[in-house]
Amino acid sequence: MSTRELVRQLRAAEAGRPIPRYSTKHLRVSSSPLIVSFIRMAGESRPWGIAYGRPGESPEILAAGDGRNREAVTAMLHPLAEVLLKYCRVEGWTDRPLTSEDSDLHHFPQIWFPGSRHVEMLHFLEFAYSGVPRGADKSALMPSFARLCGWLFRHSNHPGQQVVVDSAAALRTAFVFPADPVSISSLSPLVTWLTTDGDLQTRRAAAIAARQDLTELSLDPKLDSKILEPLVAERQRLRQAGQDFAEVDEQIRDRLGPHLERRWRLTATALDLFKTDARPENPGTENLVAESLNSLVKDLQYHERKVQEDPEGAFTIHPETDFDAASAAAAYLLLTASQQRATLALLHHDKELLGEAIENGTAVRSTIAGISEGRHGSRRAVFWTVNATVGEQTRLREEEKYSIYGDSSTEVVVAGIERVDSDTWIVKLRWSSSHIRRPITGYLNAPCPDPLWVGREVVLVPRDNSGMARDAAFRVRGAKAGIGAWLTHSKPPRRHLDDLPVSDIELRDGES
Amino acid sequence: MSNPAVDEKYEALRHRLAGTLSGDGRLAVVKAPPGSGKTHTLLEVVSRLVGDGARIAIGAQTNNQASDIARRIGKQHPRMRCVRLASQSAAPPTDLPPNVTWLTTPRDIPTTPGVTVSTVSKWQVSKDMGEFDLFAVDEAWQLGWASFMQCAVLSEKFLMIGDPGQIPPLVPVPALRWDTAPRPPHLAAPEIVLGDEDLVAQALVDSLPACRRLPYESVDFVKPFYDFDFDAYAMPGARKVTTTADDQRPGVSALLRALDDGKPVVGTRSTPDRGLTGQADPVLAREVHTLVQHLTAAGSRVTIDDAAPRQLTPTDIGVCATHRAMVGEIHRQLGDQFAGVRVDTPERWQGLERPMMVIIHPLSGVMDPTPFDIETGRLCVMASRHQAGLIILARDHVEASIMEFIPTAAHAPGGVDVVGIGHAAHRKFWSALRDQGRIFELGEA
Amino acid sequence: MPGLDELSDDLKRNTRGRFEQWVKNPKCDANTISAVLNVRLSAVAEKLSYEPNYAQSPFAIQRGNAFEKSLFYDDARELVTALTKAAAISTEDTKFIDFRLRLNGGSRVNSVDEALAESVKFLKALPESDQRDTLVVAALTIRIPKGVMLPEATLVIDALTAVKDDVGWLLTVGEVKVFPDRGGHTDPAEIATARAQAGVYVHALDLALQTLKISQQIRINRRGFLVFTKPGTNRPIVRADEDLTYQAIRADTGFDRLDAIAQALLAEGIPAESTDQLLEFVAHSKTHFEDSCWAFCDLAARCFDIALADDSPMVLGRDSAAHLGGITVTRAVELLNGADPEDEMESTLQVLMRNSDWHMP
Repeated sequence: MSTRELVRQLRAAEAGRPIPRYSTKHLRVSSSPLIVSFIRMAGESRPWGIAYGRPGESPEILAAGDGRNREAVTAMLHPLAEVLLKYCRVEGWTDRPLTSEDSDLHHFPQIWFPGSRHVEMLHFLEFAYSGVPRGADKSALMPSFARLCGWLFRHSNHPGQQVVVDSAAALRTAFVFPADPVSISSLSPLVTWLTTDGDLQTRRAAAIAARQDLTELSLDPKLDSKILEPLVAERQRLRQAGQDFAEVDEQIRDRLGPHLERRWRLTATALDLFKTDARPENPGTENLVAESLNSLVKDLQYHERKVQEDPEGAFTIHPETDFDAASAAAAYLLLTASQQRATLALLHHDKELLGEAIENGTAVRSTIAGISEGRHGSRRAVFWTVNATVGEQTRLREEEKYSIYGDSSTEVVVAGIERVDSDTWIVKLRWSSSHIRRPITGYLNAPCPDPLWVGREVVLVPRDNSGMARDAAFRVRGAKAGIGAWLTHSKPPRRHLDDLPVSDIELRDGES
Repeated sequence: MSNPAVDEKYEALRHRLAGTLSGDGRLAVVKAPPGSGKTHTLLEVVSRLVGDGARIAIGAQTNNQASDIARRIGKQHPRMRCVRLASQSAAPPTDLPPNVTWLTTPRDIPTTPGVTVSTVSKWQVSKDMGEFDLFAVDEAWQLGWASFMQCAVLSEKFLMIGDPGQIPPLVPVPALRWDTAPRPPHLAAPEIVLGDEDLVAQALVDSLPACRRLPYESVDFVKPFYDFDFDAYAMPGARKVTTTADDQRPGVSALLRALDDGKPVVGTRSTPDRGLTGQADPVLAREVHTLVQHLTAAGSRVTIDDAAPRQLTPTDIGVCATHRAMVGEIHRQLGDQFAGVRVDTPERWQGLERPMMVIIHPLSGVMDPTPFDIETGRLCVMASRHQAGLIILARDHVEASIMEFIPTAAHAPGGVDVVGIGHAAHRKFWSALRDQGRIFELGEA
Repeated sequence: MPGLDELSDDLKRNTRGRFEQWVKNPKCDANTISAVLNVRLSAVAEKLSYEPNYAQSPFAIQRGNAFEKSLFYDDARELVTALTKAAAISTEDTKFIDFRLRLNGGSRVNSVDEALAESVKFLKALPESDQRDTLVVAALTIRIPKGVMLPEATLVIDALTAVKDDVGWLLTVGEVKVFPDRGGHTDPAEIATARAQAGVYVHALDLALQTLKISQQIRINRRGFLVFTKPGTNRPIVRADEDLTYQAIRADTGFDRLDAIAQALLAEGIPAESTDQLLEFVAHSKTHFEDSCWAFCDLAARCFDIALADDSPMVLGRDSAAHLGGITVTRAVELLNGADPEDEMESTLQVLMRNSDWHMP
């Protein structure tokens, strides 16, 4: 935890309520979100019940009589599978599959979940249904649904992504709470903090009480032992006796329904809190939405098209990991690229985020001590000499490129560093000839050689070089033809693989 | 200074490496203890291979490191053809020897025997320079596997050399998906090799035989941070700091005088009942000031090997603390009088050394360590920068914090128990100090 | 004061659980005493009118039992297949030895005492045995000598393999858990628990072999295996070659520490004769609230109230408390707003907070 974060938490305690964390909103609420919540039988990993639907409407409630019974659970999942595949406009499941031509960045697939355990359910679903016997039809409903779930789960870990919303995490990111992180790990206390009137004590007491209001996947063990277990046992008895158990199923559904709906409605409340948050939306979220949709098209849709073309033979991604080293490396490098893009998309428009970046050393406060002209190679160059205050994790080093905060079009290169002490470095920044005449907006609106800059404080923000990481992802795959590939791309020993087909991701055309 | 017995081991290692890499061997991984002459060894081996007609690429992690290597080649191996390959926007350092060629276009790299030095990042994007007979990576534990994979086009043969005890590079993204991958892309390249039996079977895996930086008497203290053995290069008694300090406060003089046997010493201050604020400790910062005063006083001497003992000056002293806030507090206490003392965090101390080091134990002030706090890279770096004397300052809760820490093993299936290993190293390090009577309680000022 | 003999069988068998409970917050006297004397925190919570939260669902218990049964069914066929696949054993040609109680699916053992006796017989016979098959053992039951977590405690090892090589017998312990293996996304708390328990097995087996005086003839592998489930199924996945070295050390030093605490407690005398008095004793012991208490302790709400009344920074979380040291929340806010520091610690904190509270103009 940084000192800055501590200060914010103390401010929240002083205010007696949660306070906004950033100056802008970093999450764009889609004009057509979908809310999904699950319940799981304790000890199982598959869902026992589901609630899904659009905010403002009543949710659909589905339940499997016995959460241990694979057939019952699978049958329960069918409607959700169809809805989700259509909602996400997945190739083969809609007559309007999402493509790179789609440019509507307000009406886009966005699925809200109560919390992280619900998001993890996507991973379980991928494990449970993505494996099909060799030669089986991968374009069938459940394998397609599983692949969608897998993509959604993996994408949920992408920095800045806008498609999968873990409501609890989103609220913790958007607000600073005067509370310890464990007591606000679930949605109910978070919403209670934000919606209760009164002083700090009142809010806190209400939030502590709200912890009893379970929102994760399991139910109260007392409910299980007193009510549900006898019903499930009865169902089992009837089933084994060959008798009709539909009525028991209905009773189970009736018991699960209110708990599902409560989780669902709480998520709807969280969504409303985001919609009514008075902060302006960070302009960079547009980029983040575009990035998410681009990922959906390039990753998921690409594979789904392959499956449609070759339902039996197409490759599928393993739920656990990338067993192929090049695939793992490429995916990792692409993730680092998206991390950088996500940070920089938002940074230039959010002063509080900038403060965080300065504290952690990503951004650098500098005071311009001198301006000189010179040459770089055969070209004219302007040099700023700045006194830079460096943070804990600064990556300030020669050849790195930075922008001036407030004007992301600017570009300076670190030409030299002289360390004065651990916190202060004298840094020589070089402006290329193409930037010399351009006024730097957001400050003086003067070009870089203007002596008015001397004595001014500016903040250096890293330039987006995520393209390099993306190129690196390509190079990793291409390097398998290199003479050193016997080492770098050698096949590792196979370990505990299960029955899922293990497959490599092929080099894709147009990946950049 | 020379140590013929150890020199023989170095020579034997160089011979093995050169023999392997000029023959059928395609891979060598060399673990280096701190201050063991890693880059020197690398260049000696490279020079032999070039002498046999090899064309070699060396990858460094930063431009400064690459230029430093090129400088050393230019000075120590003047007859070896050396190119420093740099990016178009870089300017050559003014002190680059004239026999080092500065190039920015890979295509222009000569095809004749010689060595070309660049950063790994530059190597990754370079094309049209033909294949090399060897790609040697310096500071290899700072290079992730995903980055290393991109170098497959460079050569069929690889040499990785580095210090496994250093602070690992930060992984900037959530990498859980690859924790159980057979080749996790975010892990250090040498660790991937060493974790794969098949690759190890094809490699020469070795280690540098000695730590040259530390006094003989200090070397055993840092061994818990490593999974291989090494000697001390310095001779017993050859390195020390002596003072005639006579401080009225209990413990201070005894602490300073104990430096003269070359072993590290610990000075502790009592932990206040109400606890400590996390990141800056002005009491310990003042202790640093007191110690620096004594260490630079007229009667203090530093002895390093055969050189005549001389007075310690501020520029001979380094101070290391884990938090920037504490670094700032120490600077404030030292003031202009001791501006020559370098004070910094362990991340920025990597690769550097001083005759005398004063460090703040990373767990000082951490009443309730987390697995992150127990990571040993920082302490390993801090405890291995000194050539003659090391003082560790800490609040006295540190021993209990270490000994009572109960490690959890929450790492992904199949992963390395870094918390367990780290905790064991912390315990051994501290226990050795305690068992050898190296801990001194410092009284109130 | 309850004598050792009067303590229940249940206490003897709950060693692992009690130890792990203590580890979660060793600074808390109430937690420590509860673990040593096996006074359930849920019972204390109820006594103080706080509703307990940490009961276990019958479904979870059934699932765990069903999984274990399926694992060992038909001479442990599923387990053997999974062990072989994971290269934990080199052959599917194994001999299964079952010490599970009949009520847990075993076929010949009727009581814990019988399981203990049979297990001892098995271990003692190993050194002289010329058995060449790989042995897969379920529920090896051992008694940890007195002096470890008072009184003598019984430990049941979920699974174990025994292989005879050129040196002698090598025992490898395994912990079975029903939770799903999702690779790097496997729940870290669950995997830490599994390893901790496997480490207890290794340490306890060490002690048991020493007591039986056969520790020179039988080696215990410091690398064990973990058995989880493939997500969404009842099929096992084995993770072999798990380094348990430090978890065994953890159990060793942890048990020693807890023993020393237990001895000290007994020496002072426990002012309680009845169960009710024991509950009172725990209820009025000193507590040390940390935010992690919310995840396991039924008294967390009560201790949180105490921390709140003390204006402890722990109410903002462990990380915040680490920053603030002993400075209360109210005082920290005052310092943030420019109050004059009363001592150096406050002054340092104030400077740090001021420096980090920079805002872009």
